Amino acid sequence: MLEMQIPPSTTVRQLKDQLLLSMNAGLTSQEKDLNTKNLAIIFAGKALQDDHSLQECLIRDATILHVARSREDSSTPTHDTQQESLLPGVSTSKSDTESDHLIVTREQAASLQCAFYGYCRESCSDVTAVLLRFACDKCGGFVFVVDPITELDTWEDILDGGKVHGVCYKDDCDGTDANLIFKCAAHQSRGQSDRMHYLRQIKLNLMDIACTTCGDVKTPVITFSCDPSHIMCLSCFQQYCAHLLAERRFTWVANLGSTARCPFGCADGLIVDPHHFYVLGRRLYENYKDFAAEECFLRSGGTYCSTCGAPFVDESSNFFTTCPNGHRFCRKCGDIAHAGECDALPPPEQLAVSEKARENAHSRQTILSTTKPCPGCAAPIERNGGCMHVICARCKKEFCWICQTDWGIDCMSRHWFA
Amino acid sequence: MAAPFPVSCARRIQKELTALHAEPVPGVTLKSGPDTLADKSTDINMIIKGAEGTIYNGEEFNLRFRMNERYPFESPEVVFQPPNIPLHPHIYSNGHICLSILGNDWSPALTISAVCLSIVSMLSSCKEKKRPPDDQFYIRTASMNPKATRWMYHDDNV
Repeated sequence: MLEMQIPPSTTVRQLKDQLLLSMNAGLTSQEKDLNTKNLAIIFAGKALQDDHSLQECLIRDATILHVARSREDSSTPTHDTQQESLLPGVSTSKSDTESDHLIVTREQAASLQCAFYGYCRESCSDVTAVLLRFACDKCGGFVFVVDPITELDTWEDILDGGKVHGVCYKDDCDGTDANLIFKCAAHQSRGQSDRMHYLRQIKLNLMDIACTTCGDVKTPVITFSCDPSHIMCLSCFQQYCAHLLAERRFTWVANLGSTARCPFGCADGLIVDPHHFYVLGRRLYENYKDFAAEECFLRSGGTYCSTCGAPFVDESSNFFTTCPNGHRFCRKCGDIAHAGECDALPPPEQLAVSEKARENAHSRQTILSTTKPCPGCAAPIERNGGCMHVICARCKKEFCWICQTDWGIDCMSRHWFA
Repeated sequence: MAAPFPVSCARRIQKELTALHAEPVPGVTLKSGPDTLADKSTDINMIIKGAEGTIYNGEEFNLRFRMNERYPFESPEVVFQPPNIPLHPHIYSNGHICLSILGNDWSPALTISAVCLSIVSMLSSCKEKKRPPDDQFYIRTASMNPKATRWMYHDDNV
């Protein structure tokens, strides 16, 4: 372990030069043929690029870096070195390693050189770089030194909540396990509970691949889960999701729920973690959640009460059903229970009991006068243009706006466009 | 189109036109595009030539693309322009085309080139010149904009 104090503007190359000076001090001249090209400085599993400064790499106070010496016969760092998925605190037997302790002042701005991104909802309302911290499982503190990790195979294990072993150095804590947690790099931390959600499908665009939608090369980007993964820049992704939301065209996938598909239509190209839809912004994300919850509920056989909106499940096949609040209504038209024919409207005063019910009655009258119920699921549908062939956004039933029945050749001939 | 055209949208269209120039779709030539990028109107006119060995051999058709400010998230409006509208079971005599990628199956990864390619292939694979069965009552009432039509894509073979 070598402790160093280094200003944040130092580049990785300058750091290597400094390291060589101190490493070479005790060596014979034969061993001094090391040069900066033989060294790899590894942070969070990635070899750092020579021309990036430490602050661009998001290296801050009290950070442990690993230095690996690549094989001396290779004049440039090999791909093996760069692709090795090392963890902070990991040492490998193949190369000599030394841990260096850097003291760097805090920087406000998030840099584009990090490998991990998340959405900061608390402060920045934007996609920002993520700082990785190990938090003691017992006290939640960050003064935790991780043991060399051998039994965990990949990053995925730890990212999925796998624990790592080590020693908690906080006073009075004897914790030996830690979890990986994520903090926003773009604002000053407000303490232990100030965390963020890591979004693993947002990645650095290291290969300079053009966005599938705007054609620009940007970084970071959204990567879909197809192979090879298609990418979209963040601003196109945001617009893409807003469009899917407005058109109610999210894809339903069992176990994932409502999600976005790769724009090339790849069967396995999806957004696997719906938290990526945070990029919609707070208001639209709430809409997305409502939409996704409704979709999930309806797909599992649920019904919404047409009076109070209460969700419930009635597995019977009865014509009328009763919600948990006692509202009895017709499943076909969504109207409160009526005698005989399904097209009779109840007088409004029948509905109005409490103040709330009166408001609901007014809303219902407005909805009734501006919409028609879907013949498939009774969802009120408003038609704001286009032809008479309507597809219910909720249950996908295709019907004729005029006949209120299945769309067919007859409707096309008589009143396709009214 | 009253809404101002976003720069990102205009740039994407410009990129597509450049790509189309560099790698033309066989049988398709650009007739005219938007004069300036900031232009509110983005009509792009293409000429499609009937390929050799197909029933449209020697014929020429004008195809008009019209993008709105939500392009490429929303599909372009694509119609054949009179006087010569191909006789095809998926093309109405007013020039409207019943093609799923112009409606439900549109994706922002699709391009003018991809649409032209689909239309050329749709024409080339056709064996019999005829109008869609519902042509007469469709053109009597249809809106000017084919995107106001909810199509039923019943036949993928032609």
